[in-house]
Amino acid sequence: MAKYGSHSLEITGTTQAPVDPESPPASPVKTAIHVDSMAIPANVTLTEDQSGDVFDSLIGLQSIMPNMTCTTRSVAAVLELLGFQGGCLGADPLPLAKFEQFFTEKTSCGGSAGSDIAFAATRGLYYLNQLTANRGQEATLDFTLETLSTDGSTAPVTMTESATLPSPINTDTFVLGAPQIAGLSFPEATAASIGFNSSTTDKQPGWGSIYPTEVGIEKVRPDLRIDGVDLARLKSAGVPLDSKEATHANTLLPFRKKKNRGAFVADATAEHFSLTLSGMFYFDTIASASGNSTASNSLVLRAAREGSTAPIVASFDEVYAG
Amino acid sequence: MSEELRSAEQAFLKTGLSLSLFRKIVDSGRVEDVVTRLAEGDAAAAEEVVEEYYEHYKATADDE
Repeated sequence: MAKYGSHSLEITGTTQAPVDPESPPASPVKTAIHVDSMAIPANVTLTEDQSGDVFDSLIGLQSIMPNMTCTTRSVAAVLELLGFQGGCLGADPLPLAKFEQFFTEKTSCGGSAGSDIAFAATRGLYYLNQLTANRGQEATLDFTLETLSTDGSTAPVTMTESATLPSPINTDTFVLGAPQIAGLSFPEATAASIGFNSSTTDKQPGWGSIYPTEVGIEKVRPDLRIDGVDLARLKSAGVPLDSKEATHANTLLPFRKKKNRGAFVADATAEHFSLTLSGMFYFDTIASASGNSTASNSLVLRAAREGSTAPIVASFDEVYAG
Repeated sequence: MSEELRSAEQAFLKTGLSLSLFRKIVDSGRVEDVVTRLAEGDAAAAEEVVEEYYEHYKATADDE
């Protein structure tokens, strides 16, 4: 009996049409990333009878709406590919054409048997769920692809047996440096996370179909949560109870790149990245303590557009200045 | 990466759109002076370039 373990996710770009029509199209760019976890829930809805009998005697499929979920530490690669607004998977001119989750076969004694398996989707809507950056730990990013059928009758997810495993990026993990929010440094912070709170339009099966054909982004409402231990933050020179304004100019989350087989890539090397946010910074929990444990507080930065600039902006390939 | 392209990339990222889309637009060569316009413009100008990119694509597809 075959057993499988998670291997990687490969994201394929669309084929680039050549500038010169007589030239062959450029090969699509493929980016494979290591995953901490991934799943493909089928999201099945059944029809059931309304007979009043204790047991159903009539059941059937109403809809199957699979999505691909993934958690990875290749944070920068995924942010570069997906952006913060989410987007559609499909053909040119869209930038991304395929998500493919790879699972490697394991023998009963461990190790790979070499007969691996892949699940692919070529149409859908991708968006970010959460970026988690706990103190001292590598940041992780959760994201989702809501898969779609191309025509209502084609299955949105396909399987390939004896798949060829890709070579995932080994050098793309990061830890968060000391966050600066609304002009304040938070060296006492114990955890930081950004929830993207992406909501989508209703995903319904196509007419006369069980597979969905349409879905779109409705809203993305990023918020940054900072947990800390300095209860004296509540003051006019800190964060007043009636909130404090945060801007891109005074809010920075610097991410320091880890070195494979080492600690960190040199700070002066332009391989790190940072995020800036803009919005309203306020207390979620002013103080909380239990027994002998250290008291804590929790603050939230609810991000919103600053002029025409998005609520959250990334800068890639820069030196580390945390 | 040239300073001009880097500057354009930074302007584009302020829209919240993905870097993969930016690279697609730049690589396509189907939008005139895309890099220059981005480098000179702000985030709103960058979004206009995206719109122009799609409109140009649609027009090309219709012609074919």
